[in-house]
Amino acid sequence: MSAAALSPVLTPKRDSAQSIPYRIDGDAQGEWSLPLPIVLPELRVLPTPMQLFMFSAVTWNRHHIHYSADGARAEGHPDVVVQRTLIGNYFARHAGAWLGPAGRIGRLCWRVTGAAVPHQWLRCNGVVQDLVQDADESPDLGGGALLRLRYQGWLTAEGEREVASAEGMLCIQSPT
Amino acid sequence: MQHGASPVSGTTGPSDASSSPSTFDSTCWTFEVTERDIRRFLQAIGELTPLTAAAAEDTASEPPALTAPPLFFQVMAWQDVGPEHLSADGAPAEIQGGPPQARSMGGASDFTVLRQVRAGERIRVCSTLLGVECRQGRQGPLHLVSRQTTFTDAAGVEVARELATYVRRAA
Repeated sequence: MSAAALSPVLTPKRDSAQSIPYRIDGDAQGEWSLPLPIVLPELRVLPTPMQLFMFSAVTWNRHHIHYSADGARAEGHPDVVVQRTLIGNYFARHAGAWLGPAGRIGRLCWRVTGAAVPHQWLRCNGVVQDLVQDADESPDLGGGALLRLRYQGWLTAEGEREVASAEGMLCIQSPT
Repeated sequence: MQHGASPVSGTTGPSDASSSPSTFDSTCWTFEVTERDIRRFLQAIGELTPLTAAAAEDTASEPPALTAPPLFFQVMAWQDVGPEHLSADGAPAEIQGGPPQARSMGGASDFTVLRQVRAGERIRVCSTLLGVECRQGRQGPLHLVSRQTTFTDAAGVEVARELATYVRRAA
């Protein structure tokens, strides 16, 4: 599937569609539609020891559980473990693939709940839930007129074992 | 162009007077974003599309500076301190806390990305220990280490911030 096909498509409001009010520069207003919620295509990743090494190197993370199997086992892990920070990037890739060039990630929160190890497939799934309308939960993300959509994601290993969960805010430029 | 973080260039926050490279309670440094770091980060996270696009643009007379992915700020978040400042397990100095010999586990991040940075930018990074909270876990006491990191561009405008919680447990 092409990136363009994954990207959000805003269309003029139809009676049967969920509408999204928007405002541009505090003046022009209108209504467009986006069929929410949207289930995003699954992202599958297979971490390798080399990938963990590369990520530790570029982030200068020298915690031994990410490169030393002996060190990881000494701390009760079955093998070297995928970095919490790398897991965040799986969610960012997942949401970003759907957003495409039309948008960007404004906020991403994730929590690691289980260990992920190399050579085990990870499945990243998620949903774009709804429009963020509450100003209190929508910090100033800059960039002018934006639609802000709530993202929920989860990362599972084999056997549907949860590895991490995420919430985020995706920003899309309003249609003009 | 200089690669990576420059040496510690200053401290900030309420613990200025006592800050030292061994405490990391509150510290600032400057990071120069390079195309090489962005390329390496993209490879490390398995995101190859921007690299393919950049390769196509390399034929242009002046290709635009490569844009970093949203969580590229992770590259800047830990200082280039020597191993003597790390605990025996090599965990980043910024996440120390709790009992001696504690082990680090999992944790959580809350990233706000106001804009993505490009190669060639200089980013000011300020990292502050917010606190260490002790809770009782199923396997004994857990220490939750909270740290805030802010990222500011050359114009003094904040471009990202992270609130991270690290879990530390007695070995």
